[in-house]
Amino acid sequence: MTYSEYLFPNDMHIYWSLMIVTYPFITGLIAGAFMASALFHVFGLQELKPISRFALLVSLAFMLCATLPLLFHLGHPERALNVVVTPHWHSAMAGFGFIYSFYLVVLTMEIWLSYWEEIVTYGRTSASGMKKTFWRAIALGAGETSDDIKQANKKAIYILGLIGIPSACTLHGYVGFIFGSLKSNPWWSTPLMPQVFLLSAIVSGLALLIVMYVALSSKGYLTWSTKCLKTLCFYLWLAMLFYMISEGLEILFFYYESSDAWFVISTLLFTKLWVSFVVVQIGIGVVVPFTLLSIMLFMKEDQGLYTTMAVIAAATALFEVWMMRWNIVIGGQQFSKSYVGFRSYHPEWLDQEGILTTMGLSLLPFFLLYVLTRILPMREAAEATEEEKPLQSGEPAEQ
Amino acid sequence: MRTPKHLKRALWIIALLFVAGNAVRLLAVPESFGQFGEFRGAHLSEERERDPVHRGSEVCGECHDERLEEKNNGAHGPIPCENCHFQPYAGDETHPEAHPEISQSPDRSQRACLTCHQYFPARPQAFPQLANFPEHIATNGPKLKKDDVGAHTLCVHCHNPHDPKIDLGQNG
Ligand code: HEC
Ligand code: HEC
Ligand code: HEC
Ligand code: HEC
Repeated sequence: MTYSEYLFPNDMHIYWSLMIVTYPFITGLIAGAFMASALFHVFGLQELKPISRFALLVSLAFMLCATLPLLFHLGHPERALNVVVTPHWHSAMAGFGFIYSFYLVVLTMEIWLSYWEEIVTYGRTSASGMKKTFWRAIALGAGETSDDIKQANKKAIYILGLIGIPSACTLHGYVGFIFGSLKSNPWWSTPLMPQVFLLSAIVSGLALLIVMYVALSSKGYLTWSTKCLKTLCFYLWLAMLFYMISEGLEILFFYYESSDAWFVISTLLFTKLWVSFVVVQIGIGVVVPFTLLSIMLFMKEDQGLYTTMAVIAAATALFEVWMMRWNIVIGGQQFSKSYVGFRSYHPEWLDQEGILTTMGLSLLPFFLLYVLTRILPMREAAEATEEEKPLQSGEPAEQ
Repeated sequence: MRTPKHLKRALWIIALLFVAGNAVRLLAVPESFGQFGEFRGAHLSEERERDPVHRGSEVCGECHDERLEEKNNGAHGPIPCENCHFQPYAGDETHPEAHPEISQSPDRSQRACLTCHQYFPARPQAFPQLANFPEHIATNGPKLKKDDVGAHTLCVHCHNPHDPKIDLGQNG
């Protein structure tokens, strides 16, 4: 592949750094985890009960960190709120603050109601007066758990789930929308972009839940159920299928249209992105998990091999989604508008937007999740009594 | 079915947050925002009232007329004096009041010249650029019969910044 090097002056530098790779990865996990819980709360998939509340906590933990990559990226983070104070309605970015706040309210409400019984119980039974007051304040001074109330809560959760699905989609889809609408960049500018982002978000959310579910239930923190794993794996397979179709269509269209864009995109794919996109993202990230998941469709779920395959498939799928963010965000900046000049991106370790910051920001949600699960139990309250072995019920023993 | 107490209270709190949030938001909008468009209108007059820091080569030429002429006739003709003489005024009393706040002392470092002359793929190819400046210095030293040069020799050791072109035909 030969090409001459000519970069425009404003194309010399890669501005959208690792932080902009991390940001859609995190929002994707938010949306994906929420979808998984909605499968139970809204679509009534009983198999997913063991993770339905935990998935909400995962969503919240990542939600609380979602803005951080952007703040690290901004040259003037102190001006971040200007986008809410004086939004420009012609800009998709202006919507972020509103979508974010709206979804945060919906998510918090849904978690609050899912844990209603625990909250009320803690308000009554907590040992110290401080804790009692805390839990009563969380319960907003109310303390009823009659069947009527449970019914009303269930309905409210259903409605919140219904509202939550489109808002989670918007929260993540608008990132894809922003990339898709950048008409100056052929690698981004396609209406398929929001859809590709969204489907990959669901893939990543389900994949993360599978890994965490297997890990946490093997330690007894979540109720183990092979049905639950099987259902998660099936939906991961389905999401990957649709994701592959969209992503495949996108490339196919570029190739078939063979417009001026294909000239630069093909060069990009065979040079700068050959390893990270073709070999790693597609070769490892798509082929491995999809093959495994397809085989698993025909396997019995109650064997160790199934679980092992599920974990491998989920981990590689999660990795795939990260690579996909990388290849879109960084890949799209690796060629100049001249279409004949290319550049490289070398993130630094200690940079404000560097590798260490990225690792810190990616670990922070897990720490928050740990804190959240210290406050609210991971398991279903009902299960602890119903199911075989109430290993360690949801009591907040450590508090 | 009646709406339970806690749900009602939660909805009230959300409504309250919504109203309070919007009130704060509206209060935070700067006064002249939207006067001319999606920005703070007063910003324009504020910027207009600022004293210009740079004044252009002609101002310098009022006193340094020879220097101006020398520069204008050389390869650096189009470059304003202040592009190189940019350091903040250090309170040097000897320099006349004509430009108390502008800089005089130039940056003599290699970097000062290399900001423009370092090879850069984004520059027009015809622009004089150095891909490897230590080599440039090493090879040109002997041509000028200067043997005391090394990688750290200043560009101004050989080049007159105000008339940088060196015609080797004359020097030998
Ligand atoms: C009102 C007349 C006047 C104007 C206008 C003026 N200068 Fe000067 N400049 C002087 C005088 C007088 C000196 C002192 C000469 C000396 O010490 O030999 C001087 C000295 C300097 C020096 C040498 C200082 C040093 O540390 O050796 C520099 C560099 C300089 N001027 C740059 C500039 C530039 C750039 C401008 C335009 C922005 C400018 N001057 C405009 C009168 C002026
Ligand atoms: C390409 C950068 C550049 C430009 C443009 C430039 N200068 Fe300079 N000037 C220098 C450098 C570098 C020195 C220091 C030279 C040295 O120390 O040998 C200098 C030195 C001077 C001096 C001090 C002279 C001395 O011998 O100490 C004066 C006065 C001066 N410049 C005035 C001007 C004026 C007036 C203009 C605009 C007409 C101008 N310069 C434009 C780079 C520049
Ligand atoms: C603000 C940018 C800028 C800076 C700083 C600058 N130059 Fe230049 N230089 C130019 C421009 C523009 C030309 C004219 C190029 C042309 O003729 O196409 C030029 C031309 C030259 C040339 C003549 C090249 C040729 O053969 O035509 C030399 C030599 C040179 N500069 C040396 C220097 C040195 C030494 C310095 C540091 C004191 C310096 N330049 C700082 C912009 C700059
Ligand atoms: C040892 C003396 C010496 C030093 C130091 C030196 N140059 Fe030169 N430079 C020359 C000579 C001699 C020429 C003319 C070469 C020719 O015409 O072949 C030249 C030519 C140039 C040219 C124009 C020709 C070209 O190659 O495009 C530029 C630009 C230039 N120098 C920039 C610089 C810069 C920037 C520095 C400082 C990093 C510098 N020079 C340091 C001696 C020197």
